[in-house]
Amino acid sequence: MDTKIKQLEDMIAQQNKVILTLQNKIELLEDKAVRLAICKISNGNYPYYDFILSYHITPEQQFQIKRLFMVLSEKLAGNALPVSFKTSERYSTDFIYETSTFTFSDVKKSILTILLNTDEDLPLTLIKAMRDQGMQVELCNYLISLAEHEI
Amino acid sequence: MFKSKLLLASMSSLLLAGAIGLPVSQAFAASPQTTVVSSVTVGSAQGSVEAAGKLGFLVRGALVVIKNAVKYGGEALSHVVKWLDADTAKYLSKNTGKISDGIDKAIGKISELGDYATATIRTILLDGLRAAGVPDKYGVAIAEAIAATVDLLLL
Repeated sequence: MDTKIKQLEDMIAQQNKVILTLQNKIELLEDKAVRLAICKISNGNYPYYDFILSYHITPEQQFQIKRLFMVLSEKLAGNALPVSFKTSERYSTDFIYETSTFTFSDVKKSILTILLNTDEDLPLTLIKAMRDQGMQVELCNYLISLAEHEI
Repeated sequence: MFKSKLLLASMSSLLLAGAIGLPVSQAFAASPQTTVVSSVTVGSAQGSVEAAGKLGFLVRGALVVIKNAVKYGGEALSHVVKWLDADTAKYLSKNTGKISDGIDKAIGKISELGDYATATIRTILLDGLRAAGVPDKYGVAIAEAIAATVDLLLL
């Protein structure tokens, strides 16, 4: 029994060493990726990818933004909206379900909540980058025109 | 087109598959041999929390709907294409066979009872597209667009 416990303890110690090695490698890779993102020459065809790298947007944040934009796109087209989107997100989506159209201010607040950021210029930068990469062009142009009118 | 309509669309896919002579089993791929991938809720360094996963059965259904839309057209395809730049959209339209093959490979890796975060679905899709011969230059954007569309369909 004591031998078995000792064996298990040795296994755990070995696993912990492996985990520590992997943690160090992940830290090193993250550091390299951050520096590469800064010093690489930007490809003008991918401004949205540039934005993601520059502002360290996580995959989950990217999909939260995509979900928001897809529902806004449906609203803009006058299509039916998914009911579960009213309560599925961390930010209030009530503005999307009002009969009136959404404002840029509402969308800006949502994006800032998703990105956990307070820079008021960031949402418009994101939208322009997305538009310039050819993503959700109609919606992005609409949001940019809203932003210009709200200034 | 959301979860309730997805079920109707899935049934339509089955009927369509039967009508054009495809084995109905192709509409929903056989259970995979791979282990279940589960998503966990974690806090990242930035404080954002990963969302709970989506049931594999529903993800597979959504992917079948999207695959059929890629091959035959439909509302789901318009959701995918909105995320693609002109060059990638053109690649998709000229390589529907490869793309649907890649989606099939992804479906094969999704367990019906598993829980899948959207980012995991994207990774599985990208692997499937790579195995089908789609270069990353197009595959990354297509995988993300399809994963985002799965997200929308399952809202």
